[in-house]
Order: sequence, then structure tokens, then C-alpha cells
Amino acid sequence: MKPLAVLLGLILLGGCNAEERSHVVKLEKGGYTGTADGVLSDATRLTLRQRMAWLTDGPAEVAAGDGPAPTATATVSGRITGQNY
Amino acid sequence: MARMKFLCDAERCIHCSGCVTACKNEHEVPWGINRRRVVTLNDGKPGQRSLSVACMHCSDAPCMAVCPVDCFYQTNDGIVLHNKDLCIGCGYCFYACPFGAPQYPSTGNFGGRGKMDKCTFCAGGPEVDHSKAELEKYGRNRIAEGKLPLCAEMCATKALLAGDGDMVSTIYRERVMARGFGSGAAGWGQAYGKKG
Amino acid sequence: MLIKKREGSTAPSRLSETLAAVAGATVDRRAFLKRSGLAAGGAVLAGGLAAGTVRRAEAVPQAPDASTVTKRAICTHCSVGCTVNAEVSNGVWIGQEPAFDSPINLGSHCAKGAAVREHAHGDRRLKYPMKLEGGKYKRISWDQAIDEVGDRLLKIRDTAGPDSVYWLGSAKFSNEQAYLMRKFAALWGTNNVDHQARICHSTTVAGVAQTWGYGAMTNSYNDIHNSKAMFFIGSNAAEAHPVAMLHILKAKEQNHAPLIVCDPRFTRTAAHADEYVRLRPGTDVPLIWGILYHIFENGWDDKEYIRKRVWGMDQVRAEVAKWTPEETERVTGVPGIQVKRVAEMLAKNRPATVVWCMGGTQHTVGNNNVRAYCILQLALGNIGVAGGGTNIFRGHDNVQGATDMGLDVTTLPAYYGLAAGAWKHWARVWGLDYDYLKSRFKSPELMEAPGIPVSRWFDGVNEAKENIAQPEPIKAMIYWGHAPNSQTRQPELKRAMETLDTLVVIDPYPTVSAVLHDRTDGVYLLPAATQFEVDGSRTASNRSIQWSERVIKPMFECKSDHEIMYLFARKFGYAAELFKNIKVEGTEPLVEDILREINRGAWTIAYTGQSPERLKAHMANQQTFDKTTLRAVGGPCDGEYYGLPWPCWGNAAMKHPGTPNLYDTSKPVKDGGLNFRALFPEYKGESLLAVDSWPEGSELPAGHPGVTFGMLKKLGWEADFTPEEMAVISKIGGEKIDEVAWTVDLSGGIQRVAVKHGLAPFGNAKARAVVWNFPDPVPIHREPLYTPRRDLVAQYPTYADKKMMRLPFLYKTIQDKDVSKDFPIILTSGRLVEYEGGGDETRSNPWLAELQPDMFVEVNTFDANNAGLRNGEFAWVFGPEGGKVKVKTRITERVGRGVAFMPFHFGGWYQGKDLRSKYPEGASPIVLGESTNTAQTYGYDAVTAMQETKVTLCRIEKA
Ligand code: SF4
Ligand code: SF4
Ligand code: SF4
Repeated sequence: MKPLAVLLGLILLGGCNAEERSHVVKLEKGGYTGTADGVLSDATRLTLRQRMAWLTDGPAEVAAGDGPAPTATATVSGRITGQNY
Repeated sequence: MARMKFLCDAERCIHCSGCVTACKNEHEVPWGINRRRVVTLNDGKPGQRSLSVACMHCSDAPCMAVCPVDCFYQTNDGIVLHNKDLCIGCGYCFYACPFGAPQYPSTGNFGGRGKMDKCTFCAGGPEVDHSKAELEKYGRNRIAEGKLPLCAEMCATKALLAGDGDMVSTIYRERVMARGFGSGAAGWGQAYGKKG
Repeated sequence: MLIKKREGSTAPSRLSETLAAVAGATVDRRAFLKRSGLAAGGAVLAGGLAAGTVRRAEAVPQAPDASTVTKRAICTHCSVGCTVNAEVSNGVWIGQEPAFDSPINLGSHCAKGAAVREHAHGDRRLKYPMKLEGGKYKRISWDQAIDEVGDRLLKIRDTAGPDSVYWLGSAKFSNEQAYLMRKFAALWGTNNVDHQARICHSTTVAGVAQTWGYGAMTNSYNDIHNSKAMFFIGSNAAEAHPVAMLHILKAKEQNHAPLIVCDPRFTRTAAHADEYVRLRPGTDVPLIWGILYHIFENGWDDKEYIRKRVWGMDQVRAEVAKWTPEETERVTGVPGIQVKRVAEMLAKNRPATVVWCMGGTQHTVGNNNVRAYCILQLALGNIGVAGGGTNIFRGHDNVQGATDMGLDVTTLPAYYGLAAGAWKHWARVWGLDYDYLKSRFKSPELMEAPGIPVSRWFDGVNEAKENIAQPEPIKAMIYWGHAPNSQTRQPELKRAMETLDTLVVIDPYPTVSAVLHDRTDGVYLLPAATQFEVDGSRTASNRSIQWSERVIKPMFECKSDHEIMYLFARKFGYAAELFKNIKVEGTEPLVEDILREINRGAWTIAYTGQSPERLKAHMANQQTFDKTTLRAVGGPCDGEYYGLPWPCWGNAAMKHPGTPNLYDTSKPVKDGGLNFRALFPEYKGESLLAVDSWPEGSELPAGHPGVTFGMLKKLGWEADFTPEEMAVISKIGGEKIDEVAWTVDLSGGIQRVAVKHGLAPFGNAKARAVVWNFPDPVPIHREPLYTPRRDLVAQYPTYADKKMMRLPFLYKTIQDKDVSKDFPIILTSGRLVEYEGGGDETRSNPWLAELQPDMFVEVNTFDANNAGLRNGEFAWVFGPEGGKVKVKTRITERVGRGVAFMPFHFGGWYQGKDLRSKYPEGASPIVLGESTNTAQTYGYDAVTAMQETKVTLCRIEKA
């Protein structure tokens, strides 16, 4: 009986992906312990914010620094006179 | 600096799936895995609306709460990422996610699942930025390049907004004001709590 | 405990509930999972695409580094003309970035455009020349291919005449390739040369040009920003021209411009409409007349505009008077009250733009439909104003350009026609002797006779010999960039393919042409490069010409189309003539030289100012162009319009900025202003010249015919010509120098002097609401050949049978047979956003194929239940001419009762049979399916032979 159980266990284990076999399943919830990710620089953050201008319909001016940037200053180009936007 | 958010403007989305293929293109996401997809409600009837959905990178992410191996982490900018070396493909996060974001390749034997894959907000993973390992496991890291998620940047109608949450709301609010109506920022309450 | 619940959190609500708030509907979770591709588990996966994180070594996405260069190309999937910024590192296409600078797409793409980098993989491409031998495709060399194909064709030319070889070109060509192919066919000695425009917008080109001058989109996608109302009929822009919606939704949101969508199907465009008008397929003219009825009745027509600029409106009024709200409703099915509401919206929100696509053009009465749309706009005074116009969205990325380049059975490049004068003009441009050209043809009559239209090439094989007005039937077919499954009557087409002596496919993909027939030999497949693998210019729908840079070298053994043309021309012995003015490097002709030759000859539509240098400068300075007006503000292109939309008068040195909105009299001609063309200065003694209307700044403030040297002389402007111009003009004119017209003056002097004095070179006349040289001078309603409304046939009959374009055309014979009892459902077809055209290319792209794995038929719930159909199950759709297709059922309210819809991008199945095993190994598209055209039937436009795909009848049964 015993060898059979071992065999069965091995077969079951074989069903897992190789890299999964050594995993420790935690029974209590903890925090992330994996490799730490890089942190964005402020310059990158500013670039990202400026890049958001393209998500509107046209180029917009985006203020530097923190806080919501007023897209109200967006320059909608090419209006014709009398247009109501 | 506000956190990163997604918003899909249902008044604009035309279900063209540009966002979906942009994502596949950018990260070479394999067949069967959809980090982003578009759903249409009331299909074929008046009131038909489409929405592009992916991981919303929630403030209080349910996936993080349920993961038995704690493979998730949230960056300073609010992006929810995970570590594929730790992930065991158990599928709990899929059941916890209100947006159905986590995806699994069926690679294991016995129909087992491979490592979970989901939208990274185009921010790669914990590996060194732009390293080969990061590319292969998580796709391209646009955020570190100073670029926003490609799905939003390429959206056919600029329905899909991504980036600094405050700016996203400002753009959306202005749009709603200009047109005089909006169908609400779908999923925002769910993902980012009341203050949205 | 394995799972720790979050403090205070309730059970997570699902996406379905979250989304339900948006539309007040719920998504069934199963359906949702299915859509997400999870439940399916990639089951549709064909051909072993590995799941997992395995990537291809050669084209992995990678962060740009020092080796990365950005190439600026143009998307090859629709006429919007989105710029594609391709990142290339060491010759490998590694990434695609949004092209924010492009004034047309501002970085946006639809599913197709966002997936074009798949070209860098090209897994399912046709990789080397192949030949069908004993029913199997075998690899051969290029030399062998050119030799064998060449010999076969030369033999046919000798025995049956040049007209027995059909050269079918492509809207996928660049302008240079399209032009070269037309010239190539001319030197071969035939007018049997055509391309997709025949089956997409030929009715538009003919009908609109005959109405006011040029058969093209009048304004631009961007100009829709200025619209106060938008009227779509037979256009599903959200799927066919997705990025156009960027501009449309902008007008909708910011101008509060009502969006009116008329379509038998509640499309994704209709989902964004303020007013959705569901009309019975094939009743466009009655609907437009029904709307005009109210416009005339209430005096909403622009009488001043009509007086000055429109001819024949009174005859239209008489016809429109018949279309009372009751009659309109009886015929179209649209409630009278809605028609009135639409009329009022259009009247009270000016300018309105009218947009149409293949829903309007692909009918036996296509030319009537398009002219009715034009007349609606003329009545409202909406043509020639920003925000107005007929914005005709063309289909393929370069179908506008290929049409302009005369890849067509009825004309030489630039709409010169086929008369002796046209041949002489092009002979001059080509530096060839007119008599030499004549000697290439079987007879002078055939040289000036339109060829067999592509919509019916197979009838040029199948018809009895005595019914075909050329010496011998077609014996060889060259499918050069065209999907056969986009043509109706597939069983007939299959039969013709089997009768041919030789079938040649020149394409990046094997296409359905490789597998549809049951031939065992005489088929050659030659791998062509895509537009991402060559340089060249392409014309977007708005007439902007964009230079598309080569991204990567041709993959595998593919060759560029112009190189293949060179190889064949060399084999046929006319390479020296074909490339007289064009430098050939090795075996590759220089693209820029071809464009320069176009510039020297295409005066009618003024493709003359767009030199390669100017076009490249526009691409390099995209950011300087205004996103609404398309005009550059500052920078090297200051004052020019993006892509120099034709007409761009004179030669490049004249620096005309291009014409953004056609017929706009508020600007001087030199700044892109224009008036209607004087195609016919008079009719039966009555003048058609414009009255009290001319472009701003014209020194001849009156209507006038097309400009000739003599006319300018009379106006006293002879002194303005330079000696060089005079030399050219007198050489062309000889004795009759006064007759040299703006269209044939190779110096460009006539255009330059005319424009200098503010005159439109093509004259200044009224638009014609009545086109007396067409079968129906005033557009009238005619019931489709296959109509379920037999009660209307007597009152609105179709045409009598007739002969044109070398073939008999049946109308009455077909309509007289009533099949509506056995085939009660109207069948119509259309586009999906993921695929394009016949779909061989897009169905081979895994990123797209995954999104749309099945061919289907949309059936209304009512009809489906009556026929016992179940959603998602297979059904047979039977056509009245014997074709049948086996497709998945989609039960939906999207189509109305009595109407079924099928997309036309599928192929690779034939009447229930999967043809995958017949493809060359490894080159079958990922997704195969039935072609709707197997069930589609006879029916051709009475002017252009456009195929009828939008109305036929069918019966649907459970499979
Ligand atoms: S943010 Fe990036 S990873 Fe996420 S869906 Fe968009 S493109 Fe894909
Ligand atoms: S690209 Fe934009 S419009 Fe198209 S489906 Fe995605 S979110 Fe909707
Ligand atoms: S298919 Fe048309 S709309 Fe889509 S990306 Fe290409 S050009 Fe743009």
C-alpha cells in the first residue's frame, strides 16, 4: 500500500509545474516579500503628467508640480469664429 | 502626486478593440490571455454602451487580500503589480477581482494553470526595469520610460483615459460639462472608493 | 486559514454589477467569461499558437535604445490614413508608438492599426513563389515563376489577344504602384485592368463627379469638427473607419451636433446616434426624397445658393413631390414623423455633413443613391462650406489613390478617359509614340472601349463567346492584391477559376484565390511585399497624400509590387518603354521617379504639385498642422494643407497649398478655394455656368468654362506665361494653340496663370442635380432585383436588360422571377472592426483573429424563433441562385424583422467545407469561414457595374 501512495504522491507532484514545487503556501496573511520594484523619479512622474495632454483632443498645457493640472487652459486649435466650444 | 487610475468613457467607447490589440502588440501577450477586453451592454438595442475593462489597480485591491502567497504589491503610484516567481496560479485573485482581470495560461499538466497574468498598467514587474527578464515575464515597462499605458494612448476615440487620477477626473469632468451628460465613471467607486 | 477576508469588506461585487450601473443592464457572467476568452480557453486556436510566455526571438518588444529609429508609415487598413510610428532596431520592428503628431489620428488606432506590428512576425505570409502541381503547392524560384508565368501569358497574348489576360490591381498599392500598373496594362495592350474601387465606391466616383466635378470626399475627417449636424447613411464608421469617430464624437460633444444614422442595422455607430433611422435595405432614394419633401415644403431649401450654383433642381422638386410622408413610409418603412424630425434637424443645424459608404453605393441603383445624397446637400446649401460637404468615407487605405491613378477599366490615370485625346496626352507624358501604344492593342476600338469590370470578370470567362464583346474570353487572371471572396456569386467565380488557362496570385498572403477552385495545376502564387516593406505615397479619403516610409525590408522572398512589375515588363519586352523616365536600381524602380511622372501628367485632378519632396516635408512636420483646418501654422510648410489634398494646382514650384474643402468659394483658388466644375458648360442651349458666384478674389467674377490658352489670351493674360511654358504649349497645340486646355498643358502654365488671376482651371459652373447622361437623370427609386416587396415592383420596376462594358447586363429578367416565397428574408452584408476586405491579412493576425473567431449571421429574434434557430449554433443560409453557407447564428435585435446580416471578411470555407488543407503549408489564415458572397446574388449598378451586396434574399435553416 505504502509504495503505491508514494507513487501516487509523485504523480500528483509531477502534475505541478517544476517551478511551483518548492512554493511555500502561507497560512497566515503577510506582506509582499518578493524582489522590490524600482521607484519612479519625480522627473518621470512629471513626464507622465505632461504626456496626459495627448489623452485630450489636442495639445494642452500642463502645469508642473503636484496637484491636478488645469486642463481648462487647453488650447483647442483651429476654432472657427462663432463656434460654441 | 495623485495615484494612477483608469477611466473608460462609455459615451465615447465604440468597441473597436484598439486598446486590446495595442496591449497585445506592446507586450506580445499570448493567444488566450486578455489583459484588456471590451464589453458591450444592451448589445443591439437602444442604450447600447461599450466599456474597455482591465485591472483597475484598485486602492484597496481584493486580489492582494486573497493571494495565499502574497505575490502582489502596490507601487507608490498606486499601480498593483505581482511577482510571477511567487505566483502559484491558484486562481483566487480571479475570484476576488470585481473586474475579472487576472488571466491564466493553461500550460500545466492536468489542465493546471500557469502563472497569473494581468494588466501591469504598462509598468512591468519587480525585475530590473527594461531587463530581459522583465520583458519576458511582464512585458514592456512604459511607465519607467515616461510613457502612459499604450491602450489609453492609442484609444481610437480617446475614450480610455489613464494616468494621474486627478488629471483623469479633470479631463472627464470637462468632457461631461461640454456635452452636458455622461454615464458616470464606471467602476470608479468599486476600484478607488467613494472619493473617486 | 488560507484566505483572509478583508476587514469590513463585503463579498466583492462582480464586474457585471459594476457595469450594470452604466447601461441599466446586467451581463451574464458566463457570457462575460466567454467574451474574455477564458471559458473558451483558446479553443478556437488553430495552427498551434503556443500559449504561455514564450516569445519570438526576432521581434520581442523591447525598450527603445540607441539603436532604435522611428519610421513613419501609414496604416494599411482603411482610408482614414492613420500614421503608424514604428520603432525599428537593427532592421527589426520592435515596437509601435502612438503617432500623436498626426493631425488625422492624433495617436489613435483601432484594433487593426494597433496590431500592424504583427507584420514583423508574418507567420502566415506567403513566403516564396509557389506553383500548383498535381493539386499541391510546390516551392519554385522567382526566376522560374516569372519565366513560366510570362511564357503562358505571352502565349495567350499571341493566340487570343491581349484582352484575354485580366490584370486585376489593388487598392492596397501605393499611388506609384497603382499608376505603374495602369501603365503596365496599357503597354500590355488591354483595358481589362481594374481594382477594388469597382466594388466599393465606383458609383460614388461616377455619380458625384457627374454632379459637380470630382468624385471624391469633399471635406475631411477633421473638418467634421465644424459640423452642426451629421447625417450618416449606409456608413458604420465605428467599425469601418473607427478613428473617424474621434472627429465625429468631437462634433457631437462640443457642437452638440445631432448625429443621425440611417441604416437597416442598429450598428455600433447607431449606438452613438441621437437619431437612428431604420430603413428597408435598398430604399435610400425614397428616404432622401422623403426628407427633401419636408425641406421643400417648409421652404428650408437654400434658394439663393440653388439659384447661383445648382442646375435642374426644379426637375428634382417634381420627383420629390411624389414622396409624401405616407408613400415614403410605405416604401422605406420609416415612420413619417421621424422623417420630418430628421428634415427639421438638418434644416435647423447648418452646416450639416452627409457621410455615406458602401451601404449606399453597392446597389443596382447605387449611382441614383449617391446623387440623391448630393442633391440633399445642394438643396441645403451645404456643399463648399466648412462643416458641410459630402464626406464619402472610402474603404481601403489607398482606394482613393488607386482610383485617381486610373487603375480602372474605363479610364487612364487621373480620369482622362480612354478616348484618343487621353491616349495622346499620356503618350506625351510617357515619352512614347501614340502609334506604338496603338500597336499594343488588338484594335483601336478595343483601345478606346472600357474593359470588363472586376465585379464580373468571371462572366468574361463563363459567358457564351458571342456575348462577350472582345475577341476571346478571358483566359488568364492575375489577382494582384485582391480577395476573390469579396465578390458576389462565388459559385460562378469558382467555375471561372476552374475554366481559366492560368491563375496568378500576387499577394502577401495566398488568399482565397489559392484554394477556392478545384484546379490541380496552372496556378501560381507570388509573394508580394506589404506597404510596410516599401516606400510610397497613399491618398487618404480626404485626398491628403501621405508619404509612407518603409519600416522593414521585404520579409522572406517577398518582392515589392513595382519590382514584380519590372520583372514582368522585362520578360514581356517593354521594360525600356515602361521605365523610360523612371530610374531602375537593379530590378527595383525608383518610387520617387514614378511620382514625378505622375506629377507631370495628372493635371485634371492636379496631382501635380505634390512632389516627393513636399510630401516628405509634410510627414516630417506633422506637428505643425492644425488639427481642425489641417493647415500648417508656421514651420517649413506654413500655410499648406496637410498632405496637399488634391487638386494641388500647377507644378510643385508653384507651391499651391492643396484644396482642403472642395468647391469652397470663400477662399481664393490659390489658397485652396474652388467652385463647381464646368463639365458641361451648356445643355440644349441653356447655360450651366454659375451665376453670381465665384471664388473669393477671382478676376473673372462670373461663370466660365474650363480654361484654355485661348481663353487666357482673350482675357489679356498672355504676357504672364514664361517662355518655357509658351514653348511647351505651342509644341502641344501646334496650329491650334488656342485650344490647349488646362488638362493637357504639360508645363502647368495654364493652371498657374489661371490660379494667379483667381480662376479655377476647370471652369466655374453649376452643380447638376440632373445628370442627363445617366439612365435616370433625376434619381428615382427602383426596387432591388431580389425584393420581398413584390407589391412595389410594378410601380418601381428595375431597368430593362442591356449591354455595356463588353457584357450583357440583366435587370428585368431577374426581377421578374418571384423567389420571395422560398427566400423570405432580406440578406445584407457589411464590415467588422477587426477585419478588412476579404480578410486574408487580418484573419492571419493572431491579435485580431482571437477577437472574431467565427463567421456568423445576425438574425432577428422573431425570425430566428420562427425558423427554430438557436443562438451560437450553426445555420444554413441559402441564396436564391443556389449558393449556400454554413455559419453560426447570432440572434439579435440589431437587425430588424425580415433582415439578416453577414460580414464579408471571411473565406476559406465553401458551402460547408473547410478548405484549410488546400492552403500552402503554414500559410492558411488563423480564422477561416464561409464567404457571405457564396450566397449573394446577381445585380450590378446600371452605370458602373458595382455589385449589389446590400439587398438580396435568403432562407435560413438550422444546420
Ligand atoms: S495598461 Fe498596459 S498592460 Fe494594462 S491593459 Fe493597457 S496596455 Fe495592457
Ligand atoms: S480603443 Fe477606445 S474606443 Fe476602442 S474599444 Fe478601446 S476604449 Fe473603446
Ligand atoms: S484601420 Fe483605419 S482607423 Fe484603424 S488604425 Fe488603420 S487607418 Fe486608422
